[in-house]
Amino acid sequence: MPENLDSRDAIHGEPKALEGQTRPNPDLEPTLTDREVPLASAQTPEAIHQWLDGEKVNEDQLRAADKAYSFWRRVEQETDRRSRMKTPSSLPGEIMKAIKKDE
Amino acid sequence: MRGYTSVVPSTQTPPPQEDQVDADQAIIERVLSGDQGAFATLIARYSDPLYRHAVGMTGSPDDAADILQNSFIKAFQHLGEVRGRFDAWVFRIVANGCKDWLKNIRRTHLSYEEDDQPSGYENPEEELDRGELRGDLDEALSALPPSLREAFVMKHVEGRSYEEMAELLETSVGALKMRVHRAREALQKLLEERYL
Repeated sequence: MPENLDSRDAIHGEPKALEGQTRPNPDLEPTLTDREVPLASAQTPEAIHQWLDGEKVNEDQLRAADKAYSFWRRVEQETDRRSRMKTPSSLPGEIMKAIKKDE
Repeated sequence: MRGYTSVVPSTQTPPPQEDQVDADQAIIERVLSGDQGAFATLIARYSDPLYRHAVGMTGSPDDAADILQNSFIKAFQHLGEVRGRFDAWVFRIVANGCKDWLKNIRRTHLSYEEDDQPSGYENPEEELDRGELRGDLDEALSALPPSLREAFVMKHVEGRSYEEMAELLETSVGALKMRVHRAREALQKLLEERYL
């Protein structure tokens, strides 16, 4: 069996405090990578979220969020570039070679 | 008259149609009957979106390639266990491979190697500017909790719909919208000093 094919077993769940526990249990703390960024209170205008989600947005609302709009347009250009990335051409052959070698 | 604008998400990874699912199943049956070479069709069909996911999660094209190779080998070895959509099944193998990688390797800065695609920038200044954003975005992404990074990459790099993401990650659309929104808030917070 593969070690873990179920994404729900991964890092998603938030650990729950034990009943009556006053101090955090280190075993139940999120991993380091889950604690690295203190999430800020909402600062991205809702219109920007709607626009990024592909929803119809009033242009006036976007213009009102001028700086954030400009920033996210740049981010979108970068993520769009990444979305055109292709698997290295040699990789499929290497995978098939490894599969046949294992047999 | 007020104008409206909308973004058509770049749906590079549309969910397979029913006949595609049937076609995958037919290939799986061929492989299980001894035609190993048929597995190459499944690799060709799904490797690009999976590679993008792995690069987005690790920030490293080399590590992404390793994860993809190990995942497809694992998929081949356990092909008889596929129930339902092959693409969703193999996605989960890759996604878990990425999460295992993140658990094992903690990096404060991830470099993003240039791929083979032409840059398409207007001039060198613009390319330099974008190059800086590229590096900063990688660094900011690497600081996000894995679940937020995963949601952001699936939405913005893989171009998946929330419904498709929910199916692949076996969670709700609402939860994923929340993760993507939180990821955006955190990224903007991390990058605002330099870019806003």
